[in-house]
Amino acid sequence: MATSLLPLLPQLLLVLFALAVLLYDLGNEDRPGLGSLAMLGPLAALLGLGIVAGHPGEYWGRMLKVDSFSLFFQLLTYAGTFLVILLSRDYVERQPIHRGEFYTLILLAGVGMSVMASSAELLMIYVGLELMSLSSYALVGMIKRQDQSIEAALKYYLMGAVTSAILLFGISLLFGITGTTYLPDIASALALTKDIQGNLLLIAAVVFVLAGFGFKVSLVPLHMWTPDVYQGAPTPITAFLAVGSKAAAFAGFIRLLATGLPAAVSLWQPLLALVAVVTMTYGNMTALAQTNMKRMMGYSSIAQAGYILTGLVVFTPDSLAATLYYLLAYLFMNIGVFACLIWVANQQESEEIAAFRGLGQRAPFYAVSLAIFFLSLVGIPPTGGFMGKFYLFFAAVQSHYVWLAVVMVINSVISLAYYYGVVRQMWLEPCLPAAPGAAAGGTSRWSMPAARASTSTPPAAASSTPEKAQSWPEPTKPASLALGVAVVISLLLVLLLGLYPQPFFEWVGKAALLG
Amino acid sequence: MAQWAWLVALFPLLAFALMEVAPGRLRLRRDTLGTVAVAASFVVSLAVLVDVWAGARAAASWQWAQVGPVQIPMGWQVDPLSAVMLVVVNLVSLMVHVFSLSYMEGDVRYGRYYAILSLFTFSMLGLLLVDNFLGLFIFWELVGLCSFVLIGHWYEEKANSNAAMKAFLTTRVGDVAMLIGILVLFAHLGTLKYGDIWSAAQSGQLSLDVITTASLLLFGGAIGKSAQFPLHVWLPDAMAGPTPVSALIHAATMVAAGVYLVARAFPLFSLSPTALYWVAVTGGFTAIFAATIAVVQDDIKKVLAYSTISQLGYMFLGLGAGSLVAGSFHLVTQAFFKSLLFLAAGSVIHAVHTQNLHEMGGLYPRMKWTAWTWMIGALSMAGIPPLAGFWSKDEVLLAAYRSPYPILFWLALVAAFLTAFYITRATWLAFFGTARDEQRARHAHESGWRMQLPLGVLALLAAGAGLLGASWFGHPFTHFIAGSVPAGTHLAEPEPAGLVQGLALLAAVAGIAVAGGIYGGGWVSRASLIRAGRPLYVLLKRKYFVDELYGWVFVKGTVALSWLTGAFDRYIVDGIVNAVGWLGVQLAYATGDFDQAVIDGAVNGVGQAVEGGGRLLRRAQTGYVSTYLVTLATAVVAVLILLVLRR
Amino acid sequence: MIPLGYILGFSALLFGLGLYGALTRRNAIRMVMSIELMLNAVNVNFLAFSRYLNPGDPRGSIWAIFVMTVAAAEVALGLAIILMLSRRQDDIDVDKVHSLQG
Repeated sequence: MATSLLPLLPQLLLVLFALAVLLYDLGNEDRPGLGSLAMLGPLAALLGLGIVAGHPGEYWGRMLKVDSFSLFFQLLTYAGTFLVILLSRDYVERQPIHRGEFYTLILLAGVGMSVMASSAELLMIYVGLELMSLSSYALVGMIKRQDQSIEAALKYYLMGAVTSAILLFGISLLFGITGTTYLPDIASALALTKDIQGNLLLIAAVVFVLAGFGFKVSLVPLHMWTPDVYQGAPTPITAFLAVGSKAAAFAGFIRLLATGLPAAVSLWQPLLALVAVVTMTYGNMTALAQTNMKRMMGYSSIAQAGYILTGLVVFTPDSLAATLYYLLAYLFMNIGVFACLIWVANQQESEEIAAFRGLGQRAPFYAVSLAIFFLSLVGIPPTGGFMGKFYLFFAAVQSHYVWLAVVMVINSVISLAYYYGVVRQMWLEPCLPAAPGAAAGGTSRWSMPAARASTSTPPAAASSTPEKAQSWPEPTKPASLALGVAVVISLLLVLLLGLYPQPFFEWVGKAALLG
Repeated sequence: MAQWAWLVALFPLLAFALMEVAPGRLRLRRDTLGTVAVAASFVVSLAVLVDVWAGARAAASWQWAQVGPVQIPMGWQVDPLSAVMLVVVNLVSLMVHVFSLSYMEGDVRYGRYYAILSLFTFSMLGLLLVDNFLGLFIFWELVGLCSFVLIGHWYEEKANSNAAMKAFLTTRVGDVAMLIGILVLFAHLGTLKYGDIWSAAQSGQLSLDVITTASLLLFGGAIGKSAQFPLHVWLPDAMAGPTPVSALIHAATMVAAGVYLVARAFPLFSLSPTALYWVAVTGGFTAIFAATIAVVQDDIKKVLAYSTISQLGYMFLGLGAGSLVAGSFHLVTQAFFKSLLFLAAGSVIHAVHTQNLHEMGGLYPRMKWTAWTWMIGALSMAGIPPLAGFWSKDEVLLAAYRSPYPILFWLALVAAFLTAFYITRATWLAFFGTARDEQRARHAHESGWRMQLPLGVLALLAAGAGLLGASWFGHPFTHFIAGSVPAGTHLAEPEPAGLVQGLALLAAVAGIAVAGGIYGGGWVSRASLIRAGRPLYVLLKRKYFVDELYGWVFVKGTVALSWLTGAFDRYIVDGIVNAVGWLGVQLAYATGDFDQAVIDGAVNGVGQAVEGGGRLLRRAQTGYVSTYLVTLATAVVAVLILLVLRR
Repeated sequence: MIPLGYILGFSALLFGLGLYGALTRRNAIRMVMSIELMLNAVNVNFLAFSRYLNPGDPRGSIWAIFVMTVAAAEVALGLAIILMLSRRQDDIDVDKVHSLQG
């Protein structure tokens, strides 16, 4: 029995740490070292992953699959979870957030993500998806005293529940058509089906299933939750949604399309091509008009989902490998951006783009790092984002999707404009003094509705009337070390992915075979 | 020595790294560090050039990454073309470093200025050294980035940062084409290495269509970087940067990268007459187009900026006419005389604190050194023998004359006349005549050896560098440069024609004479001239309204587009919401008490449905989760219907 | 036995009703209930396919049990979020919260 539990070791370790955090937190809200305990979770899972890597195969009645693909996404998940907890350490001190629940839910969401990536059985993928989603809904609404957090949670929950029902309906139809929900079996059953294009049930099934995953990765027109939830959620959770949730959903998406529905490629390929183009264009166009940094990153993440989707559209081993590479780079560049954002928000008590004013003088390290992450997001060498985009372009052009590559390149030029808006604030606008609340130790949490209502005024003015109605434990330590560490890690990896891509190329190339 | 060529790029990189990480006292010595590093690079590059001239070649390549079966190598090479350019870039960069010691003294971001100069020098040298298109693109973007930072050096002024952004965005338009061109070659050949691509192209592995497409796409990148029509609009604005930066980046090196790209890819371009034709036409047109604008500019740096655009046009004309030598020779000489002119202009600006030509005048007695060196640069550019510009311009004109499109020759000849005219005009307005601003002129003076030395060195080169390619010595440059392309590349090296030389000289002298007559001799008053040619004057003064046109098209276009996306939300989504609401009302009537029977069996079924529908009608705004849900469901159903219908 | 087509028609209708409810209701609890309706339609599908196409194969039933379990968790969480909402405003009209927009 012990040997048969082994393939599940990383996930089990994560669950174990989730429970440990929950128990340790019981009774006393000020336990020291809670964050460190939580951070040990993904680290232990990474160790467990090292052990599991030596035992590829399928376990538990084909419910669990250990292959290079699942190892890749598990690693991504654990790294993402670790970094998100790192980002949270500062944040939870300054916000009315219950730390124990917060970390536990992050760890459990991580379990859901890794389960999603480690199975070729739709049942497991669904359970993983729900574990991830339910934890995320709760995490989004974690700042219980803040209207926007609740609003975001409500919207995310309602839309997520509806789409997961749509997804399930699609899966049930697939089950009806093929008699199975094990993806390789679905593929072999569909391979025998003659008239793929004309099968009404199959069309419905494919459309519904695509809608379910498309929602999670926020493809237009299923994207409408993204900006609202990104803006309302606690910032580390925004980062988690942007990198972890999106990567896991893409893992499921790729597994579904490549392992389960390759026979129906004529159904989904043209559709997704159109969706990819619309998604990246819409995301970039709308991001141009944003004044809130988190909201802008929401639209940016929509656009990025469009880029990533092109890898699925082209659908060659190279393009899938490029997708994985891009996701890897995307993880670090986004975490980096959000780390800088949290740092600025701690200082200025505002998440508006205007809060980045004069950052170049106040904190050159964060300003330069943020600029590099932006360059990576735009796709300018020598960053990981450039390598990822180049790989995607290359795969597209190689399969005669030149038009798709052209649209992508043009879109990356558009995206320059809104990132530049932030860069301009950092260096071109005069410095702002730190908000009075922050100088006094950050007792007041910023009131985002007020800041939103007056986006044209400087955030310092907007937050000059902070709500002091609540008495949450005081943060005493100037805990920006964790953020700095997160920025440095992200920076190193973004540059490494841009300058020395070879080992990563090999790795994603193997993972993309889905063997 | 050639095998040590990589050291050339290493020194500035090390200097940059040191400047960034070194704390404390070393930080204060950034200027020295940068200058010494570039000086070291210059010495090495000189040794490399000597070695290469003697016939040595060097290259090294290693595997950088592998994608499936496709290898992505990274490596460097030196051949005559890159060896010459290494020396030119290092020399100009060194001069600019020295010049800036004085020019930028006391600047708020003096240290950062030198750090970015080092990074730029490294990137530019890297661009010249790499042996493949991916590396080229990476350095291509890096020099663009440095240019962006340096144009916006004084970013407190909004106009400067706007200019920086304009430069970055405009060149990125060209980069889009270039990246796709690179990908087309990569997709067809599976390699990015220059040598492999040339040999594959020459052995007929690529169809003519692919060669033409790829060449023209690559040329798109060159149009952006080298500020050719219609992407020339960024260069005049880029004059917002410090003048030494204009001399280095926007006259001698980065803008020349486009020319270098075409020269480097000449084995490819030369296979496609169509591609060459468009290179020649773009260059020829830009040469005369920009020269006409330069005639009426009042800002001394703007005159030089349009002049740079025009001269770059000459280079493309030479390349497009099939002469690799003409294009690259003019590239070298232009780097010298144009950076000289820019630095001299910098010296003037430093002395009188204005860039407006009409506020200068009468500076000659007070700034003899600057004036003389400027005039050497001016005469060199105008094409007066035996100065450098004469020889290289002659090569370009000759190539155009012998090319299949002699009309380009006549265009270039007119441009040569205009060149002589506008540079004489600028010379006269700046240095001679009466001082139009006594106050400024009285305080003008030379600014010490750190600014005079670079002027002297560059003047020497602007005068003498042309002898390398002079017919008096049997065109040594021609034979040397020809070694940069694989044997078998078609190089049009036209027979010299006395007619061409004569006409070129005539145009230059005529230009100088006419300008001298108008501005110096007072043949006609400037006012009456403007009055006589009012529409033309306005047209030129407004630079053919290209900026206005772009502003109109792009700004209006963006506004329209964002209006459209807004309208999408306002009308389409709302329309759907409203329609669903209406449908809800109807359905509620039809099904009777849907709520009561099915959901909660409670109250006011119809009433609530009606009310709900009504509210739905009024919810014409995003932010409502029901709107989102309706959009979501409508999209899914629409796609479903679409696929079913398409079946 | 009832033909499979009828059962599928029924489940499609049920799903449609649920979706309709989720789209048109503003009361958060009713929306959650409508979503439950959609999930029930899914369960009907699974059970019908299992019973008619592969009698003896427990897979459909397993799916139904999983879906019910997850749905229970989903509802519990949904109610918690709705409870938070009701503490911030008098009712649970989902369209009264729209401060996040644009």
